[in-house]
Amino acid sequence: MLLREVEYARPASVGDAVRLLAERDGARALAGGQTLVNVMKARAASPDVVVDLNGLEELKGIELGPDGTLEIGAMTTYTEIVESAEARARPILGEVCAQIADVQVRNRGTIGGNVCSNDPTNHLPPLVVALGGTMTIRGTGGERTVPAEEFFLGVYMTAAGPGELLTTVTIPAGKADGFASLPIGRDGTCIVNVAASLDGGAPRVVVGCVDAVPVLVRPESAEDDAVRGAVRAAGLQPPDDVHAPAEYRRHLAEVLAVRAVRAAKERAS
Amino acid sequence: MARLIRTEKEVEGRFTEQWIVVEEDALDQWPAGPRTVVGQPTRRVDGVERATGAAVYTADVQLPGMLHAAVLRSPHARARLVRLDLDAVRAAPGVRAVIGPDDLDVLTSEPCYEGHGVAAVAADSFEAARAALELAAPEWEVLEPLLDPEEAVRRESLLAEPRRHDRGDFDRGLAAADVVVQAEYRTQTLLHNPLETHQSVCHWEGDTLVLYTSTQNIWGVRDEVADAFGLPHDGVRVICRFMGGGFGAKNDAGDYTLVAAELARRTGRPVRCALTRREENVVSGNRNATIQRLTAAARSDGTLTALGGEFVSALGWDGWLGPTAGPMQMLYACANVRTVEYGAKLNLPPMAAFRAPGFVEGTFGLECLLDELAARLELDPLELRRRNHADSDGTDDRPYTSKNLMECYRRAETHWERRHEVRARSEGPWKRGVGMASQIWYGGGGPPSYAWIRVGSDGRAVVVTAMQDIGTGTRTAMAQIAAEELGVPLEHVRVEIGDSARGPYSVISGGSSTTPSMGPAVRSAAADVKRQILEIAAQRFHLEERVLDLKGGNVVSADGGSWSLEEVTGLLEDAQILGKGARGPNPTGMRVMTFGAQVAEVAVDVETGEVRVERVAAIHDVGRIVNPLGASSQVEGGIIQAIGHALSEERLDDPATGLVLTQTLDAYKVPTIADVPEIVTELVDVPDEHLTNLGSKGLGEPPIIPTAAAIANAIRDATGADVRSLPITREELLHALEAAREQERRGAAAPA
Repeated sequence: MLLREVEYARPASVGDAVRLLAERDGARALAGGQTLVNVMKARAASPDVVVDLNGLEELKGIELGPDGTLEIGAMTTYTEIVESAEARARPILGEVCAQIADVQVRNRGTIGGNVCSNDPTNHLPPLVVALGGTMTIRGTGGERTVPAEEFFLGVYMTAAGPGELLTTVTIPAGKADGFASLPIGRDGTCIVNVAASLDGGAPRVVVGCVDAVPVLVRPESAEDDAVRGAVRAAGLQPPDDVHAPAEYRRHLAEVLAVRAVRAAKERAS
Repeated sequence: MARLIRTEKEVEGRFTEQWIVVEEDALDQWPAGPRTVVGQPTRRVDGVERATGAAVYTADVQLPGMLHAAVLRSPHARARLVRLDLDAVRAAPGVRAVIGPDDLDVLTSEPCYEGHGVAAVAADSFEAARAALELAAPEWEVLEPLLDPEEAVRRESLLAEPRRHDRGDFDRGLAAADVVVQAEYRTQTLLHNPLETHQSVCHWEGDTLVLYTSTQNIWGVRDEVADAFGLPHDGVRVICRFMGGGFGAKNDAGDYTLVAAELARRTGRPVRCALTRREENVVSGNRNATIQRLTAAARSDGTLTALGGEFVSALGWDGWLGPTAGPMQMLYACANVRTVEYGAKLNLPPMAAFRAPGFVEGTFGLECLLDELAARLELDPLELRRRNHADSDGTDDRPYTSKNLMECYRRAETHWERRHEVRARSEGPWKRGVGMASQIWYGGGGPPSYAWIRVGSDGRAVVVTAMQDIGTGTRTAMAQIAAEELGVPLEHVRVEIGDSARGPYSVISGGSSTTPSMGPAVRSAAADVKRQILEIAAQRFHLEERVLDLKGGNVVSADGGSWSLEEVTGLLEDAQILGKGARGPNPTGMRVMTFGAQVAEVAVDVETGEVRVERVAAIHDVGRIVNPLGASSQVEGGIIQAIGHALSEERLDDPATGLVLTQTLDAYKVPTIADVPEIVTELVDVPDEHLTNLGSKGLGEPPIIPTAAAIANAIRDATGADVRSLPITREELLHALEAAREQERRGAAAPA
């Protein structure tokens, strides 16, 4: 379908971008465009002006701190994360980014766009929650940080509200992570995905595609039965749609949670 | 001399008797095996044009002053229009013409399926046309749709008389059997999804309608549109130089063409009418769903004693009943066969031909049933198929013009033998297995089809014929055939196609008929040119014609003389050598069919139900291969499409409203390059000695036919699960696995 006519702005600085987003009610930030352009074509979103962030070098790049903390600019593409030597400090990041869709999408799509659009089938929302990430948000009033598990509010809704911009995703040091997903076709949309991390005590298991926001489950241990039981006890109410019935998604959530935790355990040892 | 004969003409398993004037096909076939040009792997002569975007598709046609049409389509499966405000549409900005249900036969006020055309508008832009239609504000009386094919059969809502085939004595065959297997199979509604959606640009030049369209059937569209507008047939000029796929859905003019033509007539301006992707996925045709209740009976040695089937095809509101029972009637030797086929008329979008219609669906059922039978008989599935090989056509005992299915089985053995090693590679939740299936299909083509060739003083040849290229590499194959016969390099032959005003009649690009129908006509035209060149050379060099030949771009004589072709044709200055050729008749009293076998290897994740096809070996027998490179592309395309059919593609309809739920490519999942397995293609490449001067059959359809059954059989081999419904969804596969485990538990618990 054709796009409606829309105004286009390409700010030269993050300050300008935030100002544009704050000034206009109907403004939306354009990152890689892999979600926004599609929802605009489907008329699910009709911004008056798109604020293109692609010229903003300050939103790009990955920094590795002395304590192993990764600071990832919101406009860093999946391909850049896959190829980054710094990002290898937390290997799961590159591994999951390499699974997202196809080469063209990975070259355009960004970590910031992925989490800010919060399509429930996206890969990165459950991952950043499992890894205990922190989101830095800039508005006209200054900067604030939000823990990843409080960032996702609903389908296409996050803590980065109107007039605000996600600038950085901070990922703490760690390595005992796993991810398991089942897409439609090898490079299609996920039906269910699960991220798990064993760093920092009890397992953090986060299930995607089953609710408007990633669902954090805290099993008592990393044993298969404990993980399966915790996911079952979470009482998931996944959608029933053209891709899969709800019952099948519930089944997958358990299977994939066990697989994600097993992968994390392998990496821990 | 031209001969008037009464002949049987076949397109995709539909036979008609017709009169036909045929030229004698007096040329001997070339000896088997690769020739200088024919039989050599050849890159597409138009590959660079296509890859760089220089090739002009209908979607690229821009004419001065061109308007854009949009069609108001029914949002209900069955309804009656109560109110429609076309005046408001007419008054909208940019609107140049509006037509409604009273203005054109393809528009209706009582739509019978979702997407049925109601009104149409031509405006300065597509956006303006769409915006204008929103003002039509239709009000509907919504009526209850008929959606269930079994219910339609009960109510006798059928598009054709039930088709029955009964040979031998089915009941006696059953009684003579040691083992009888019965099962119900289902196949889903599938969408063609060509890259280029259905579309036309229409433009009146005086009384002539010039029509650019994305079609597989230039001449059929010409006649259909001319009849609709009361024009002489050549009052419509149809142009299609390049088209972005059709798979059977572009055999007819379509409502969009008639809408564009009428709006162009009313406005005096060119009008484009192009389906959007959503319209494409609703109204452009589909492979109809089927329900197949099948029976196979055999003696303990595997000899089939009876085959039976009841087939229900959910055709939609319009269409025809494809030969779903065809494979059961023809693939194996069996004296006692009873089939009945019903074509249910429903309030769903009409079906269209789709790459081997009927046989794709019927082969899935039959070839899965054969494996279930093999399991019961504890016979090797490949051996079971060999033991029931049919030496002649089972429906009327006609001999085949050629059949090398046993050779296909022989070559399949290497791939089939891998199953032990493949199964051994199972690990964790991933179980691996191998399955196979056989293929039979038409694909012999037939007359009429014509080609002209002109050669100028530069010795270059131009093949002129008004055929279309559906995307199978037609220009390349025709250039190879002409170059081979003329003894000139491939680069010295141009092929001009795609315009009904510039060339003679050619066959529809459907039913795998392009190469077997057009190839012999092109060779015949080239032979006509060659004869004339040799006559001229004989006179010029004072030699007898019989000692002369054309080779490597030269006229050569038996005594070693050699003159470049230009030396001969150069004598002519502006004069040209004109040759013409026609497709000769098919042999009478014989059956022309294509054959093959495929072996699929799969991995099944028994915890999630995910299936990965890891390797498919395809062995097909389609007579002489003109272009091995193009042929392997055909095989790969067919298999990839079949993998979608087997595992992921399905048009879902709302069971209450009959509305299509899968209108986007996100909802309707076509395989991508990441889903493509290793594909091994082997072609038997033996010319059919009874078929034309070429000995070639078509290959467009055969490769898609056995793949889904081979995959289903491989899944059974890997896991023991019986999958009898397409697509093989992951959740249904988990249920089938559970059922298989349950059966095993019961079997284990039963007393010995």
